[in-house]
Amino acid sequence: MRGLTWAALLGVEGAIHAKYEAIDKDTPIPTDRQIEVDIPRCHQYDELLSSPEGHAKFRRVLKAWVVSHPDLVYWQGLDSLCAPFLYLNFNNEALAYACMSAFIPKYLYNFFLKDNSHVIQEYLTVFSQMIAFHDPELSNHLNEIGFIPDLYAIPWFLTMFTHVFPLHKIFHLWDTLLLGNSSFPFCIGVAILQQLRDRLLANGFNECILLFSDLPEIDIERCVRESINLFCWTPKSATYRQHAQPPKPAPDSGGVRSSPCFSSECPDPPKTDLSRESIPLNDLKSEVSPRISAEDLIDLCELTVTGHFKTPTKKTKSSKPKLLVVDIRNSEDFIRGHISGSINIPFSAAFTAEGELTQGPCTAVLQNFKGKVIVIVGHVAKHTAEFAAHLVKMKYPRICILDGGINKIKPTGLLTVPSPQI
Amino acid sequence: MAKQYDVLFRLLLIGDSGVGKTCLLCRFTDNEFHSSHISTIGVDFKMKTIEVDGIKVRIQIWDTAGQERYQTITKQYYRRAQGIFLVYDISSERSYQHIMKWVSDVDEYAPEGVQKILIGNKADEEQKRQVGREQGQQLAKEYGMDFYETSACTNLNIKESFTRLTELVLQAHRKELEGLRTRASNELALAELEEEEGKPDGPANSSKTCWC
Repeated sequence: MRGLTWAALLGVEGAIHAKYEAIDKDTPIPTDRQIEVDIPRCHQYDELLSSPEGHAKFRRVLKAWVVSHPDLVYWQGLDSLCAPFLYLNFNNEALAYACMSAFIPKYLYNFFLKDNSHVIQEYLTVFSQMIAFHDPELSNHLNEIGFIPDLYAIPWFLTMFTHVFPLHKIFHLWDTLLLGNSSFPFCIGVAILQQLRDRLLANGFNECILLFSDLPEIDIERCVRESINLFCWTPKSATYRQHAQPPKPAPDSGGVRSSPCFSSECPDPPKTDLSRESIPLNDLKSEVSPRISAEDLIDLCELTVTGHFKTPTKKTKSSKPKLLVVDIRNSEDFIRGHISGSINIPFSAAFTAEGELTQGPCTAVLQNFKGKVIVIVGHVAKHTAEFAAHLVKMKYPRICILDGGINKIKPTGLLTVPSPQI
Repeated sequence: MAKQYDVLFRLLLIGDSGVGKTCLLCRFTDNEFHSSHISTIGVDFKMKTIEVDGIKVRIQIWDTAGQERYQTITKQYYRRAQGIFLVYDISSERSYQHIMKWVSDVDEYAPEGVQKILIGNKADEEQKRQVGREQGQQLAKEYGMDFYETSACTNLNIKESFTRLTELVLQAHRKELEGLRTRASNELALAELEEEEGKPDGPANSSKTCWC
């Protein structure tokens, strides 16, 4: 039942048997040796997967995948990723193969490139930002001791946790993962860290790496629940990755083809101007907090709907968290035009030499919003990122910055200009 | 809190996939042996404190993925190591041949003065042996390394080889350590070398980014 449900969720359809039959799974390939080394080590506590028949099936499905994906290669860990599909479809190799082939582009797009370092580096950087967004205290500590995701999270994500958990936990976790999009794994990662939070906070680098080399029992039910909660708090564009799978082109509607748009660059073609833009990896790495798109900001502020009055039009968006927009430009710029409802805390005077917030009516509002989503808006990327980093240091959760700054909002006509006081 | 050890060293295990790096490590740190360890993805770690020459040495052992492609990930850990185990499997001629490649990677990425030791693992599998003991000795001699045939399964030469590499590292750092033995204080310790090393490389100064 689960096998078929997963297949449906992954959109597996068509002549999967004919396709699988047609793949040459017998001719020796250079990867054979590695596959042979890995199979006898993969989820061998399980009777099916450790049986000779299981090994033979493992071998065929993995070989079929390698042979039919010439642009990708076998990385150790692919065996673990194959395991849940093989287990669930033990008597239907073709379906196991089809599910794995559908899963990888959706959740692990280009992770199995021969040179995948740009993909992995970006992924881990976004993950770091997610930790800071959801748990600044933990993020501060881990950064201070140098316990970076590169040290522990590669097997998590490369195998979508199949290298980390036994099968029964994987099933539970993936039942939810398959309902989420490709950003959901970040939330799972943060949820795992949060379960170990107290121990991580109490320890230094050496103890932390030891903790992860022998990962303690994780309550997977709790992990799933918390992942969902984290996911709901995460603005869509905060997990934007330039190396993510490009969106499928919209179904051909007549001959109307928009001018060549590099679809990989714009996740949401009709609104490219307000979507996030890709930035160099080093810039991304230098920012503690995630950026969100203007699109997301407008959506979260419900600015598109009759923005003049505060009276909520509909409660349909009640699930969306409230947020505060902090405009860090100087007050002259702010007066000339700003996002409705935003407060002004000029960057130059926001923090004392000790790194504390200066006292004032606006900073008081900011303090009251601690815990809600706070979006920092400016016009100098570096200042905006610095402001956000300050707040993270002060353990403000859910800090993000507006990608492209105030200039992204200007063309929308959504900035309010207060009428001059008489 | 007083440190439970005098110095901290980082040792690294490298070699082809399936030669038994993780098994060696688990035998050494936990005295356990499982014939079917899951593969190592990226890096893994264990720690153990041993006493060598009256000095309490905390060794942090980094276990690496053997598949060649993982080198893009693992090579960044080479430069933090003070000692390296090069491991092959005596029942795999291929893993022995590859030692040359592993040595050249060490030369390229590891710090100068890093101590190396050659290990022929799975010595209990005599009937499957493809690499003679003298071949191992010969190769070790060529590279000026010590050599052990080990078996994680039967616990042959495990403690000996880890202790030996630790001794070599201690000798190589004798100068820095001299103060340590005379002073009882833990203050001046080579361990301090470590503190900043675990941290990620400082963010590369991003170019000016202005949204104006």
